[in-house]
Amino acid sequence: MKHVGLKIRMAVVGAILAGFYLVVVAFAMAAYGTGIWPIAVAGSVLLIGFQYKIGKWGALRSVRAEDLPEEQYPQIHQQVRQLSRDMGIEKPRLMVARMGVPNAFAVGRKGAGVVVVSTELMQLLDDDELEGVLAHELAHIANRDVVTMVIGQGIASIVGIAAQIVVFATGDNEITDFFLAIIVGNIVQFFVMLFVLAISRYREYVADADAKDAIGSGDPLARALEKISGGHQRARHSAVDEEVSALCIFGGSDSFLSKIVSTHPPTEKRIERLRS
Amino acid sequence: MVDVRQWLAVGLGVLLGLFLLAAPRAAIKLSVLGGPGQRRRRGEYGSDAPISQWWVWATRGVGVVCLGVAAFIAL
Repeated sequence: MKHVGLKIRMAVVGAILAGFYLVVVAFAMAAYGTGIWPIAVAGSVLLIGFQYKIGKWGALRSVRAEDLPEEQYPQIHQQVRQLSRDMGIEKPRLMVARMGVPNAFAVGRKGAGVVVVSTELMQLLDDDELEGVLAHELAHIANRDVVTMVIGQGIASIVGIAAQIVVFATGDNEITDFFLAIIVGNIVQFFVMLFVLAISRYREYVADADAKDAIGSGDPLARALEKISGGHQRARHSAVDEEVSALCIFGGSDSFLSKIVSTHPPTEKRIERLRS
Repeated sequence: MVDVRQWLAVGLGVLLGLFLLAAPRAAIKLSVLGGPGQRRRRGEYGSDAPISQWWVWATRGVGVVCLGVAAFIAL
């Protein structure tokens, strides 16, 4: 079994997340009777389905992604075809966008996935490094990470809204109740998001490991990360000097708080694991 | 008699207000609206998109409003 430690941690965090959702459904059943549960579940599925569809459409639209022409980039299409076969998924649609920074991301699910690569990333990386990045993105599709994250965010939204409704419904409809409902809803949603972001970071490690397996070495992806983070560090230092961190009381991006609200694990740790 | 909900509103309002003032970027990252998906797509590969100063100060503004409402309820 692959990535046992990561899978155990992910299962624990996932169970906590599911627990949050079940508490909400239990509250709804206590307040409105057991007949409410099909409505609660159907409503949740609809909300998450809506977020998934809108998210995919919005992602491609926001970067103005266009299809990556196969006649112009035959090697990339061939690499993705081969990697998809190795990972047991259908070849996703490949798109390109001018994002202003080197980046790549995956949206959609198995069988309806899309991988978007920025022109800046293609210019920056060597062929094998780009293959490492593509393998990582394909692993996200193979592991259903996009759907997992949408479900996580959906649960955070549902639990936050439910907390607001409970606080407001049990009050006297005064300004205090209205304010308390908003505050509690936000605090609860923030709290649940901590778990969602933890899952996101675990998924990155798993996608790295799967990419390493698929291409037979972690070094190309590690080099890609080094190249990109090298430019990122320089840009960040100049931005920090310029704005004095915008009076950021809780330090820079290396602080504990910054780490636990990040979607990705620290790049150095990823590089270390890829080369281990 | 002490109104528990009133004190909760003040206490949690101050807590959230201070958090928004002190760590606006973390608050945005924890918000469903500032979703992880969006941040992945707008940043450099392997990192989150930097948050614009406009959003940082807008979040601090919301923090000030939180403290203001909490003070209004307390007084």
